Formats: sequence, structure tokens, C-alpha cells
Amino acid sequence: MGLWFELTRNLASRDVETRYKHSLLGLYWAIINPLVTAAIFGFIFGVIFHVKTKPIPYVVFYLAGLTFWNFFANGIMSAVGSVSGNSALLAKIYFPRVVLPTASILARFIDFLFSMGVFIIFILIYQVPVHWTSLWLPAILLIQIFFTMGIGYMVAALNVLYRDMTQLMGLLLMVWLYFSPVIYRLSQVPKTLQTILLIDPMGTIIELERNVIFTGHILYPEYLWVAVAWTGLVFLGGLALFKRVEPMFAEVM
Amino acid sequence: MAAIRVEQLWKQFLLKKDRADSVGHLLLRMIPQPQSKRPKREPFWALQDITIDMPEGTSFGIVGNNGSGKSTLLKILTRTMTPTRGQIQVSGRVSALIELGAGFHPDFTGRENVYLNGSILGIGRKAIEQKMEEIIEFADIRPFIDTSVKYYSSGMQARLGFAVATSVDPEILIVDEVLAVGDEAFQQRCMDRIFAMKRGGTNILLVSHNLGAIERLMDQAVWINQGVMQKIGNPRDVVFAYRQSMIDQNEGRNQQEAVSGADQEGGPLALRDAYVEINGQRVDSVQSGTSLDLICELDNVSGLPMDGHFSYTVRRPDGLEIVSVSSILDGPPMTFQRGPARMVVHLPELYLTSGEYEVDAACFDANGRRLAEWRAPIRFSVQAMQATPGLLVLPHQWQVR
Repeated sequence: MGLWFELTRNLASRDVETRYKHSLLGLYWAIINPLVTAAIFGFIFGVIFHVKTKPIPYVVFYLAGLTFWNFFANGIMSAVGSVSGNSALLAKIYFPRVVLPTASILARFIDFLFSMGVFIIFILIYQVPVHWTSLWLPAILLIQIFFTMGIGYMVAALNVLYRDMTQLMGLLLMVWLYFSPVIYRLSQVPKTLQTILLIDPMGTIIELERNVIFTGHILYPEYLWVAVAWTGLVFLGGLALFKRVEPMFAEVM
Repeated sequence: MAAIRVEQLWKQFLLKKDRADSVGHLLLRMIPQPQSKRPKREPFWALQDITIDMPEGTSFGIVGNNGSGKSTLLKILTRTMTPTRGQIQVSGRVSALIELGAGFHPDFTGRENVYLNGSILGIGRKAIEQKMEEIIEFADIRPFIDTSVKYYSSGMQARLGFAVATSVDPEILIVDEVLAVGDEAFQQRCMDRIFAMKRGGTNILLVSHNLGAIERLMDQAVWINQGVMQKIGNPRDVVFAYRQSMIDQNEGRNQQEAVSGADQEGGPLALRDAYVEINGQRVDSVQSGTSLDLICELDNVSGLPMDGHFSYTVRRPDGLEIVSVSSILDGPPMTFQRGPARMVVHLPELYLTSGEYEVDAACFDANGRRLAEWRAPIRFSVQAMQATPGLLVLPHQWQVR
């Protein structure tokens, strides 16, 4: 069991290293990408549409949402191809295949830590007060990680059978982004819609993550349990699906 | 306690002509179609009722033509595939060399790949560090160990792969074909290493077209043809049966060609007898270092004179080939007139150590295609003045200078 952890770690560090070794802007994806996106959203919604994000400066507001969201979205997008893109490893010998999507999500977690660094720098630059409830952040992140892994397992397995899962997930994540309170606040949404958005665990998770950092007001604590229940369901379901499809990997590829 | 036990193993592949391989395709499927248009599943049995028992501390060879299911069997044994029916039981830590460069990441250096491979094979970083020197030494890639694997030649990849797979102290080593890559010196080192591991108690499962190696190294062998076990047991018998079938196939092919071709080229040569002679006397025991003749009596039954080649190979009974003479290498083909002939090759000196030896005889047509092989090896024994280890007793002189 410990050995599989080591394999996961090796694969993840391999993933991160290759990414940074072979591109001039090694940290581009982890840092510049959310920065540029945050700047664009800041320009469109802050400058053009005058959306209020007070008391948080809009660049920091968008960066907060996008940093957490990108970890989720990039995790899924890496997991999708993690099995089908590693056929050389699959041919070698048996190891639990679930190591592959887990390692790719772990690699994106390392990216996420880099972009967290940038996020913190921006908090410092704009001197945004941070609430003590930030200490809860790791717990919420843990829920997010398990949710990401659950979906990651599902799509990684399905992508072996249906190779256009990547495109499908790209589309789905785009829609998902706009239906989650990433670039807006839940309180800006009409009451009836709020409930619907909160049923989406990513909505609750992102809203919570931003709230514990900046305001300390947990507006909808009861939905945390909905998110936890979803996460448990998705994680176990994803794992079960993965195990179900696993014997077919070698034959289909 | 068996290292590997395979019981009534069946493996079926579904060759679905039209499997939905994308979500888009899947959605199209949902549009109702007339039943008859649905593609049929075509079952294909890659392995049928394979039963192998490989006791602890033994080695096993697998032979068979391409596409006979050998690789599928290995994939099931390394658990990269699951059997359709039947049981497998593999007890012990497995290291496998199934595909060239499998498990290597092209962007990583040789050294990094060794660590990565180690963790796939279940070996920790510490343990690999201790083995690193030995691996680099054996693979003979010291100047390139910190270069990306994508710049490696296939030979270098093969050497590194072999070095890693055999350096992790596996209890079971599964090797497939990879020895075909790399020069002869390296192949020899691979075989030496496999042999050394076997002596050290490692269970070896070897798939190879190198029949001599199977005969020489393995305790047991199985011959699989089109997914069905043809013969299992003593490697000599299994290899013999397999060779025989290949010759029969070739003969069948030649006959077909002869029937279809107008000019009876490649008409059959029949081998009648083969033996060893000294000064015209048939013998079955010779003194080491004396001159001898290898004789094969043949009959050109094609009705026409034909050109052909001949080869003799002297082997130890365990399959190790000691010397081989072949007229293909020596010059233009010889002409066999109609009717019987004696094919004689004169060896002025043959300095073998004491022991039993065998000679294989085979004849080929002018293009080098094997026509016939003397089925029963010619056996003879050699007596040397001294009992010495090794293969040869060479004339030598001692001096103090």
C-alpha cells in the first residue's frame, strides 16, 4: 500500500516536472492563466458592467474564485487523459490503475499551491483583511479534492472507452463554471436560484472557500452537508465505475 | 507450492466491428435503427483451455508462432489483462519485460526512469539507489544515463529495460521476446544473467523464438498454437515437436509451390541417414582432436538435378550450439544430381571436451529455404585425454620464460 503511495507521488512529480521542464513559461499554467482570466473578468464585470464586489477588490475577488475553480477544472481535465495517455505504463505490469488519475489530480494540487501563492501575494498587495475562519480552508479543500477525484475517476475510465470525453468535459466545465458562484456571489442571485446553485456541491464549496477567507459568514452551513453527501456519493461511485471498467483497459487500448 | 499456476484458462476477445468509441457515436446509437443493422459481436478465442503448473524454483519456456496467444498469456499472468474463464495464481513478486521501453517516460532521463520503473515494480527509492550502479553497469549506458530516454536508441532502451527488470530481485521474472533487440553480445549477457538468476532460485518464464535458449535454460516448456496447447513438458521434446511442425509447414508450402510452379524448382530432397565417419569407418565415439567426417545420405527424388545448401550443427545435448558449418556462408550452392548422394563435410580437427554430442543436419534450396532436416540427431561421444571443464580441449604448451 505504501508503495502505491510512492508510485502516485513519483507519477505526480513526473507530471509537474515535465510540465515545467519543457516549457519556457514553466509556471505559465499554474500562475499566469488564473491571473489573465481574473484580469479579463475584472475588466468586463468590474470596469464595464460595474459589478460590486466590495469590500474585496474585484481582481482579488475573481482570483479567489478562479484559483479554487481552476484546481477543480484542471484536475478533471488532467484526469480525463491520465489512463488513456499512459498506455506504455499499462502494458508494463499490474499496479492499481486508480493511481493514474489520483497522481494527475495530485499534480494539479501542486500547481494549485503555486497559484495559492500568487493569490496570497495579491491579498497582501491589496491589503485585504483575512478572517480567522480561513483555518477551515484545508477541511473544505479536502472535500473539494475528494469530489474532484470522484469525477476524475469516472471520466478517466470513460475516456478509455469513449475518446471524446475530453471535449465533452471541456464543454461541461465551461457551463459548470458559469452556473457556480465563481465569478459572482451567491447573494447576487435571486433567492429561488440560490437553492438550485447550492445543490451543486462545487457551488457550495467555492462559496464557502471564499467566505471563510474574507467574511467569516457561513451563510448556508446546512448545504455543507449536502456537499459532503454528494462528495461521498461521487467519490465512491467514481471509484466503483473505475474498478468496473478497469479490466477492459488493456483490451480496448 | 507453485510459483505460477494456470488452470483451464480461456481468453476471449470481442472483435466488435463497430464499437461505439466516442460519446458522439454513443448518442447516434440511441437513434432507433432496424435490428439487422446492429453490428454483431465476433468472439475470438485467443487462449483455449491453458493449464500450466510451474513449481517453485523452476523455469518455463513458451514457444509458438506469432499470433498464437503467447503475449496474451503473459499479459494475463502480469495481470494487465483479465481472463475470461479459468484461474490464475501467481505467488511472488513479479518483474516483467513484456514490451520494449514499456514504462519509460520519453522526457525523463534514464536515471529518473529507473526510479519510476522501480516504483511500478514495487521497489522503493532507497533500494533502487543501491542497485543504480549495477543497473548502469549492466545496461552499459553510463555516458547517457542523465540524458532523456527519447534520445536513446532502441538497443539502449532494451538494455536499460532489461537491466532494471532483472536488478530488482524479482521472485518471478517474465521475459518476452525483448532479447531479439540488441546485439549478439548483449543477448548473450542477457541469457547469462537469466541463467544466473535461475541458479539463484528465481522462477523464469521465457517467451522466445530462440529455441536453443528454451532448450538449454528451461526446465519445462509449452508450445501454443492458435491459442491451444499443443505440447507441454520436457523442453527438448516440446521444441522438437515445434520445429517439426515448422518443417512440415514449410514442406507443405514448398509442395504447393511445386504444384503451382511449372519448373519443378525446390523439389524434395529426402534424407536417408546421417552419421559420423573416421577414415571411411562409421563410428559413434571419437578421440578429441582427431579428424572426422559428418555424413548425410540423401536422395534427390525430384527427378532433376537441383542446387542446394547443407548445414551441420554440433550441439551439446542441453542445446548449446558449439559449432555450425553451413555452405550458405561458404559459397555458391552445390548441385545434387538425380538419385542418391552422400553429403560429406570434413572437419580436420574437432577439439571437444569429453562428453556426449549431437549433430543436426539440414538441407536448403538455393535460396536458403529449409527443405529438410535430419529428425533424429546424430549422436556421438568424445573422449579427451583429460577431463577438463569448458567446451574445448585445445592443444597448448607451457613454458616458464
